[in-house]
Amino acid sequence: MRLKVYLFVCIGTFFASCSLNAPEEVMLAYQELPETVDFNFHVKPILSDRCYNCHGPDANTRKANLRLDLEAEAFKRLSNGNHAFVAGKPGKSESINRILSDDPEQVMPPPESNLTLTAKEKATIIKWIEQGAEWKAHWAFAKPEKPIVPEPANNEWPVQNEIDLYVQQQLKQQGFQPSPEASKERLLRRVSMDLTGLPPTLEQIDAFLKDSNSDAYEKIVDRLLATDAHAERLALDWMDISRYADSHGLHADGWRLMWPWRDWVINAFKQNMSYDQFVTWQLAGDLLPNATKEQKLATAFNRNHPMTAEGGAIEEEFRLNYVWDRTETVGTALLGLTIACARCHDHKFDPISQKDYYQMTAFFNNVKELGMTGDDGNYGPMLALPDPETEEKLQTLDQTIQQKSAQLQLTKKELKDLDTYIKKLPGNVKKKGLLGHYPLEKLTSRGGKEKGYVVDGKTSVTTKESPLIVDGKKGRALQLTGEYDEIYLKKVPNFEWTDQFSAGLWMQTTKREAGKTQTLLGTSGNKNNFWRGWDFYLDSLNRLNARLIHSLPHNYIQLQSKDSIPTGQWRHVAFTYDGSGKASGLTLYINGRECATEVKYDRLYKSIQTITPGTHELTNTPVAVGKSYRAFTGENGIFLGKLDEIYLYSRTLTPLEILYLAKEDDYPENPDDSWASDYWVSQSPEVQVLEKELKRLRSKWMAHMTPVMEVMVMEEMPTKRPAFAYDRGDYTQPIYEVDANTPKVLPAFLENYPQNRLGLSQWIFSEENPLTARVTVNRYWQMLFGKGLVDTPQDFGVQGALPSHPQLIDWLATSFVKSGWDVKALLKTMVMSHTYRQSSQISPKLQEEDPNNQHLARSNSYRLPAEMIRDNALAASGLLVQHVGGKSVRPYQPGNLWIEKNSFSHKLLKYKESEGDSLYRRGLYTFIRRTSPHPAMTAFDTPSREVCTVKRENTNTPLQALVLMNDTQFVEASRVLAERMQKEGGGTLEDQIAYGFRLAISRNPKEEETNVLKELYRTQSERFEADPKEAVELLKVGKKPIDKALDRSKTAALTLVANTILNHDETYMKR
Amino acid sequence: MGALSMASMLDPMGLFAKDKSLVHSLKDGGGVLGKPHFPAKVKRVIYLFQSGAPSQLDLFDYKPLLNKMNGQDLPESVQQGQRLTGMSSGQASLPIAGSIFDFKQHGDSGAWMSDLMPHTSKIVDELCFIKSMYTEAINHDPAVTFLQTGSQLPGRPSIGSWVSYGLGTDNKNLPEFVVLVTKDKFGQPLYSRAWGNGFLPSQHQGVQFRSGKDPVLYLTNPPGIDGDTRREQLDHLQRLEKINHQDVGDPEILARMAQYEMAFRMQTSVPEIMDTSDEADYIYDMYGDDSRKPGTFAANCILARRLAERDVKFIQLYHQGWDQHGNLPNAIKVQCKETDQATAALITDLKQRGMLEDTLVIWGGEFGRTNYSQGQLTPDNFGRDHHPKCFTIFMAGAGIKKGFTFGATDDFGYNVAQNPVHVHDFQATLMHLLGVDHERLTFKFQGRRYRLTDVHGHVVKDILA
Repeated sequence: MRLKVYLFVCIGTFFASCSLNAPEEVMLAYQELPETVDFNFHVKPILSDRCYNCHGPDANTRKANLRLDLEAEAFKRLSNGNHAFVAGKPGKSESINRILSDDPEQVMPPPESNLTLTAKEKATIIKWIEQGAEWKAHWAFAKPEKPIVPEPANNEWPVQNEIDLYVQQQLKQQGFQPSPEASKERLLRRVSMDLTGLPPTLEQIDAFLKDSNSDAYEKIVDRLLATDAHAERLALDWMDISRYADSHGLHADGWRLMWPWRDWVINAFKQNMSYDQFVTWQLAGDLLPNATKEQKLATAFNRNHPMTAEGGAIEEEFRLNYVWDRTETVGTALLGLTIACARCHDHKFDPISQKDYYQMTAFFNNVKELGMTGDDGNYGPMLALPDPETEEKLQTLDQTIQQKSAQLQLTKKELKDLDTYIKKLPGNVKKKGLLGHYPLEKLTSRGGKEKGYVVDGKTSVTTKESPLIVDGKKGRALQLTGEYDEIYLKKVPNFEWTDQFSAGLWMQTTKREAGKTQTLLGTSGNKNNFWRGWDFYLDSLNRLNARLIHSLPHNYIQLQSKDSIPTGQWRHVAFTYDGSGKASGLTLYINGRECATEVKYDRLYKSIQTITPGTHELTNTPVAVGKSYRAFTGENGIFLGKLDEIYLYSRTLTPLEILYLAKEDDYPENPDDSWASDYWVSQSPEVQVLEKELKRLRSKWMAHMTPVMEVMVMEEMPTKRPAFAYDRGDYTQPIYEVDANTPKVLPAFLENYPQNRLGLSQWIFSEENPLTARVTVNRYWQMLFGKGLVDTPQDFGVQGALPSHPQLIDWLATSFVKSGWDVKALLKTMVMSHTYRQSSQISPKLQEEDPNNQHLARSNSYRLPAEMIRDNALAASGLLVQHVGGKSVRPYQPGNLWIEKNSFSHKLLKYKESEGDSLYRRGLYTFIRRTSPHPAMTAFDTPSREVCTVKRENTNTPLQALVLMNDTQFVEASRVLAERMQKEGGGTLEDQIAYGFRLAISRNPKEEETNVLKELYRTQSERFEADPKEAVELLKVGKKPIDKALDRSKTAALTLVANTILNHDETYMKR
Repeated sequence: MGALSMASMLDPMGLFAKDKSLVHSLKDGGGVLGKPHFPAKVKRVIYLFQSGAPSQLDLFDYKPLLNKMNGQDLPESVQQGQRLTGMSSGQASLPIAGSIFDFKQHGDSGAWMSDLMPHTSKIVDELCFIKSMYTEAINHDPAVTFLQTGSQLPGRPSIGSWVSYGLGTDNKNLPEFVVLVTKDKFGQPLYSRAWGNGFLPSQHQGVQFRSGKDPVLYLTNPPGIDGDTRREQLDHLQRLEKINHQDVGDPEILARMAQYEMAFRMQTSVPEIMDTSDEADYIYDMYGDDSRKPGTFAANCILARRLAERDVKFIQLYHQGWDQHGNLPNAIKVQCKETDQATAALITDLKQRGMLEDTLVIWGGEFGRTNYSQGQLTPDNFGRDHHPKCFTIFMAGAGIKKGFTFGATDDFGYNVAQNPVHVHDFQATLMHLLGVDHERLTFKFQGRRYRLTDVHGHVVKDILA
């Protein structure tokens, strides 16, 4: 039974119009509402969360043609003649009738939506309408203006800067007051942990306690902000945002190398690079004029997304996933927008259309990348990172190579000009440099247990099935009719790109199929060995192609004929290669004549020698004839047709020699009498000497280049790849083509911005952009205060939280922009405030009235991130090795966690713990394997790094207790801390306990605390003395050698004391 | 792997019972729903996940036409241009491969089974087969992720996490979501996200129990520290924290200490579960020889029953090795030998204990396998590629029909011919059996209410008992 009463809330002239039939609970709730109901703060969150699903931005799901996210639409006359909202008249507002209705056919939200409104929410809408239904634009989409700084709320209250004025104004309004400043010890620990992730040293604590100058704290802040540890601490958050990992994340989840980018990030923070530059480099460093290596390296940010190497994966499906991941990461991290919601349909809540989404994706679509890569290793586009010394050597060698190449060309020309050559080739020329002649005349069974056949009686030439033997161009030929007819030529050298080599054969194909190629000859491998090797093939249009590959899709050369080979006709095809590593060193021939060609790609700088999949060891792969070694891609290069007379040479044949091959046994006529001279010139001692020298130089160049590491980066393709919108985000369903553009609801993407990632970056940092600065200051506020001023740092849209201090966030945002996006200055302003420095003590009143500390009358307490808890234990024990940067390390990890889940990656098959110093590096450097993250880190809520994360969970679980008590890392740290307590802590037990306590917790223990620990020590020391074997066992944990000079029973007992200290609340909680 | 963590295990009866109000308030079992949306038929689920995708055509889905047409190219009218993986789409032909195993009908229900699963064949009258399952993903990683989280891409919570989040636990000394992985199988990879919490709080992650000395990571005390010592240490830690609490006043300190107590209790309760030496010999005989070897699928099945007996809500086993692209006839025999007897034994054992009344057992992989051979088809050997268009799973136990087969594929075993069941439908049905309306168990993340079934899924009412 619902008691119905009339709600007379109006005064003056409204009384008649706004009396309405509302349930008592709504009326009661009404009385609890604030005096003024604000659209943005009170009403829109309700409309958005409960109404927009059917009455929001998504046109496809909109019901009753009613839209409540736009003012004009919300107030318009409905088809039934009513209005959803009538300002001042709740009784006449259809919306109110509907939300108060009992009728399941009438009530809003309808029962099938599984959504309801509370009494308070209903009352809020009623009151808002009564008060005039003032509509306001969404706060976060309007540009922040510098707000007026309030006068001090109370002259007695401590104010350090503007932050306090804003916070205290609100405290006064709410009837709270700020807390006093935290104790010096606690403040020092707090600011040290927040800014550097490490506890203060005892010397630092003592110095700060002694320093009674008014600027003592500021000096500390300045010192902390200048440390490497500070840069590392900022980098840690950026790793979450950038979904950084050391593995690929999908399927094999194999090894990748991206840590040089992490080093770049640390270094950028160290230099206090302005935030706009920091982000611009990462989004578009490669597009800056004369981009430097660092600027290009920064773009690795957008290559940190997971990638798949799963055999059979469909290329485009995954490539698009990568493009979309970049788009969504930029949306979440930089703009605080949940644009991913518009991938399948228009956004349900925010005015972001599906078209907006796909226009954004177009910024990230123009990368020459693969959807399916290999199990282990990086894939292009890549940036090589030689150290300065190597770089100089490479440059010097490069210059010498260029000089020698020019000299060789000149020498050849001069020699040819002499015109003193015989007009014919020597009789034995076909034998010169010949590696193999394969006439393809007959097949014989291999015999014995071996299946398959031997070709031409040569055991080095085999085939699995039996191709047909048919009439050939010369004698007989082999006809390949199926997919198991391919032939393998063993004992052919494993060519390097510094080698000269050539090949020719007769062929007649029956196939020409869209999307399918036909391999003639080749050693090129599959995804798991980077497709390394060389190949000579017909593409889907039967054009002739030759490639030398180090790694696809970025490190190879390719030459393609302009003409196609017709089906059903014999053609002689050949290529020659001169060992230069350039596409210009390749020449293609059809029927003995050089053909017109196009260079498809020309960037080869590492070895093409074939390697095994998986282990990546050098192996001499047989030349495959009639099929490629590719697998998993749906395109295996199967040749269908006849093949005859294959010749392979270890030198660059001259045109006349190719013509000779194409003429079979007839000696070709020398077309203009000069062709033979090419051969004679190539054989002259001068040329041979120069070529030998060039090969030596190139090999030397490569020897320097081979070990140079490479990182995956962004790089635009010269021709734009068209971008599309996809129906429901299905890669098979493109709807329409889109151009790069930014969401309509935000300020326009100006015409003078380049329509690429650089332009996007300019737009993100334009003065008009309402989001970037707010989102950024909010994230840093969250880092220092535990919770953002907007509690949904990933969502500044209408479904996101509203700012707890709207003017403060705008003051911070506008000041941040004015400072030139100076992150350190921003952080300093925050930590200098009294709001930051105040005590975190919780009074019963605050606990009762503001349990979530919305109003900041105290400092927040919360559990520290996983990395800091570990770093603190390592720092306290003295184990911590503070080496900045470098490759990721593998601390202690129990079990066989990697291999028990995944045996596909060769490089990450088994977790192998680091040795020595690497066991004790900061948590930032711990190796991140996405599908099997470090369990101790996961226990403390580190994200999986599969997607961009701007806010970590903060849980409290039994496993956390088990980690701190039993993880080798913490047991060892306890033992080493126990040793340190004895060696450095003084002569008495009390002093030693106090010393350990201070190292881990940064304050002196109280007497009662010392007493508890002393008691624990006594019981334990008795036990270990009675049973010394137990002590020996305990001290064995960890790889750090024990200090044998110390008494083992005592160390063991103190280890338990130290472990108890490391389990103390104040070691893992920010206080 | 797991972050063991159970918000629901905060024990109000523990040390800080007096401070109960200060411990995070949690409803009954700690689930967000408090109690199910409607009376649940199923109290707990044992999901025997067969990773790699078992061949339905060689186990359950009998298609004599394939034998008749063995070696012929798959007609385009059947294949209908549907996508193939890159592993077989490059083949010049797609030769139909009939199963080389003998199929017979079993039980009163007359369910078809090949001779690969003699033990399961004997209990078909307990089983409910769905032969018309289909999925959207065509490769393992996205397909496993899809089946286990409702989305092909990483980032969403797993089924067990949703159950934990929604329903909490019935046993305050054990996690509500436990994962057991067969040891040393090395098949298609597993991903911790398959039992991960996604965007749900991390206490809802599956906790992996493993054979050996550390049944849960970090559970075991370091050498030289026994249970008594640990107890003493914890008592002292409690005293320190009380001092701290008096000083700071943060209720979180008490919540933390409750977790320490929970951790301490788990150090006893978990090894108790894992020590199966109290199982009778007939149990080992029933589950097969393997069941005496810790870490095998059979041993894990016994553990699953023990966990179910203690009311662990969601018990997920993983058995890798079903990905038979080549050499299927030999490899599948090994897989069946490892799983058939123990699966049948588990169902029988639960029945004998009266637990099949409120326990649901599920057996199945992430997709099906093709009716054509991947690679060369020879008289005694072939392989089968991934096939998302149809596959078979079976279930037994509470809330579902027994001796029942739902859905059917066409004569080629290629397309679903009758009653298609999408992965989201399967998930919706599973939640329904647990008393949860899949549309109403949601979590708001990044502005949107997410659920296991995305925006899809219909309960398959026809299989409900």
